[in-house]
Amino acid sequence: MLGREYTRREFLKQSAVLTAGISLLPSPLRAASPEATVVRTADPRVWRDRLKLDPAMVQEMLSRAMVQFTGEKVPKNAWRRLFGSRDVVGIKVNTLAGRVLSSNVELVDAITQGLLSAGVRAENIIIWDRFDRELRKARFQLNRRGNGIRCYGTENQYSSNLVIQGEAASCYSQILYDCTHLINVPVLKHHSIAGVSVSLKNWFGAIHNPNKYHSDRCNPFVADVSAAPILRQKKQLIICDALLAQYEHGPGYKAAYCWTPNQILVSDDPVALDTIGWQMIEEQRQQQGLPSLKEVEKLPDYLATAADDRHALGVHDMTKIRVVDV
Amino acid sequence: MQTTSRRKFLYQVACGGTCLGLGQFFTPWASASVDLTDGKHIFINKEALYYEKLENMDIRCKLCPKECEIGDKERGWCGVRENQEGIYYTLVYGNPCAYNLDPIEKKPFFHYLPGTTALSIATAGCNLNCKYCQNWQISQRRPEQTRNTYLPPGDLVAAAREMQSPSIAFTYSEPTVFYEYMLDTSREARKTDTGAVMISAGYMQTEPLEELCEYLTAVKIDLKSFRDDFYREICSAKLDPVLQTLKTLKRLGMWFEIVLLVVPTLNDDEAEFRELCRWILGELGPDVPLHFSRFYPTYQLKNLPSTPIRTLEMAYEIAQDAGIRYAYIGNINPDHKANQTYCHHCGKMIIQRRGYFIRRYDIQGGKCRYCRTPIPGVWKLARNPNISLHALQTGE
Ligand code: SF4
Repeated sequence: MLGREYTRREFLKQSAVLTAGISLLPSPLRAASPEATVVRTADPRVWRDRLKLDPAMVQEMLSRAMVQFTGEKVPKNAWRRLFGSRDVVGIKVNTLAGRVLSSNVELVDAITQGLLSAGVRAENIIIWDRFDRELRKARFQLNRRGNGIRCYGTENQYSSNLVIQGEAASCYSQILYDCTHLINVPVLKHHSIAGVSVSLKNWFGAIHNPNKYHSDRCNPFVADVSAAPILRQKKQLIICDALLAQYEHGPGYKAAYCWTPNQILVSDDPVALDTIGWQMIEEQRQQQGLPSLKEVEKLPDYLATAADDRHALGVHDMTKIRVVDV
Repeated sequence: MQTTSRRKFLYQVACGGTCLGLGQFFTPWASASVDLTDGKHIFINKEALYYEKLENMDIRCKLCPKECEIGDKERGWCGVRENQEGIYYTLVYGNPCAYNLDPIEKKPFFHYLPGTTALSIATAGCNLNCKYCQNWQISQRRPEQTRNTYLPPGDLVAAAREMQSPSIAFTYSEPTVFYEYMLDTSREARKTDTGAVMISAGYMQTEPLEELCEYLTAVKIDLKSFRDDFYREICSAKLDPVLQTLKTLKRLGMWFEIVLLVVPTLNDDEAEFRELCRWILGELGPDVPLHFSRFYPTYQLKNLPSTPIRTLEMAYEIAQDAGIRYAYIGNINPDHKANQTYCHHCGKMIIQRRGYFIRRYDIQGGKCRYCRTPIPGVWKLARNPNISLHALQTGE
């Protein structure tokens, strides 16, 4: 364990040198890494009652994960290692599934607290998704122009230029162009077409035409969309909301198919994190007596595509992914 | 909810409408774009037609051959139809994002009320994704991403009448995806003797098409190619359903014309032209006008050159040699001989055009003025016989 932490710290130090002050690992460097790390925290006490989270517990869980992920001793330093006062940070949430199965406001609040503690200006934090109305339904308070942390939907603000990346051709949310850093906050859930929807699939919410890319189980489209320079060139952190998750009939919320892993996953490797998320969904399906995604021909093949040489978005090989449970 | 009053809508159309990416045209009709629309998006809870409910609040859309299976809170491939807790909604009903008063020749219709205008509208969305789409800025967007105005069917028909436009055209993007709006508008139009024409890729299932054709007065089909692989690779669709649509239109006795946009290296093969013409003759007969249209580089196919004129002329000659009576070339020199209509019997020029303008019109009572041979087409609307000659425009 010590050895792993050391490696992580060394790696971060090395990258800090190599990238002249870049705090998160840019994708090309990450792809060159033989391994990926996914930090996972779990605590069943996080739910006060059936559908109510304890904000303090969420904060505590996230802090634990961030400390582990960065190798720092205290949460503030963990955030400072990754973010600074000049950064503009876009927090991409997932609010498609309404009040219950969206990125939890309590988790996003904890993230913004971390960013503020690192010196990021409140006005430079943008919580965003596709639409105002979906954010509102998911309990977020909109703030497009006022003081403090911003929160709004892309609505119709997409770049005018068409980005052609592999088989995808899309305009990307203007918000991406305004940010220096991205925090991707997906929800862990089954997706009836793609197999699973975690962090990579969450970028479908950043393009103007996701509806065009659901054929062939979203493969290679998820990988293509995620490999666009506008995403690749940003420093990305993934904080996956697996406090409540869904193992079947997603991405819409279906109470009967939800379970509470009570977990938060942190990584800078989206493929690795999604691969672990996929395994969690498979385990839950097995426990519930459901066939595996392979058996129902819903394997998320786009993960392997995302890891191939052409996309190089991260590590898909389970033997090369370290899961650190804290 | 913000709405556009009919008066304001009329003013907007008079000022040039909103028409995105309509490409290169040779006519002074092509008007400047103005943006006077009201709301960003105005969704009406209008349940979609032609879908079936599945388990777990999933649905299957049966409007077009894609037959999307859509989970709760998700949209179909076209991006303008959404499943909300097991009920499928259209998001573009009465919600156009582009409108203009166009000459009917611009569609192009050459055998339908020549010289008249069509109040032309589109909503966001398309069930294809042609890599050379000239209107991708509306067709490949969702309704939240276009500037829309609220114009329910009754208001749209009333606007057409106030503008003395004999027809309403559903065009620019792909009307299949705003089927409910088009159907209700066509029904309303029928009550007032206003024509309703659809400009479509023909990627629609037979049942909805049959219902719609009860109210339409003409259809133009954009046949993308006569090769299935072209449909799959360039348009994200399949050829067969489009051929089925053409056969259905023929069976129903609907007036229709076909356009083939000729894209260099992709669908400009001599053998393909020959096979296409043979199929048209065998299945649809010699009277269906066939327009070969010139491609200009755009959208995802900016790397290709414009179609050489000689390629279009080759296609035109192949069609004529094969026995297609009314072949045309579009998007080229407005005085080109292939932009004119010649009587298939005596060979005399019976409609002379300059771009979209009619300069000479020698059809009388639907017949060639010289030899009295009936000319296939719609030369007047059945219940409104005065329209065509009243509305005839002359360019100079
Ligand atoms: S009309 Fe739209 S939703 Fe329906 S099948 Fe076609 S693409 Fe899918």
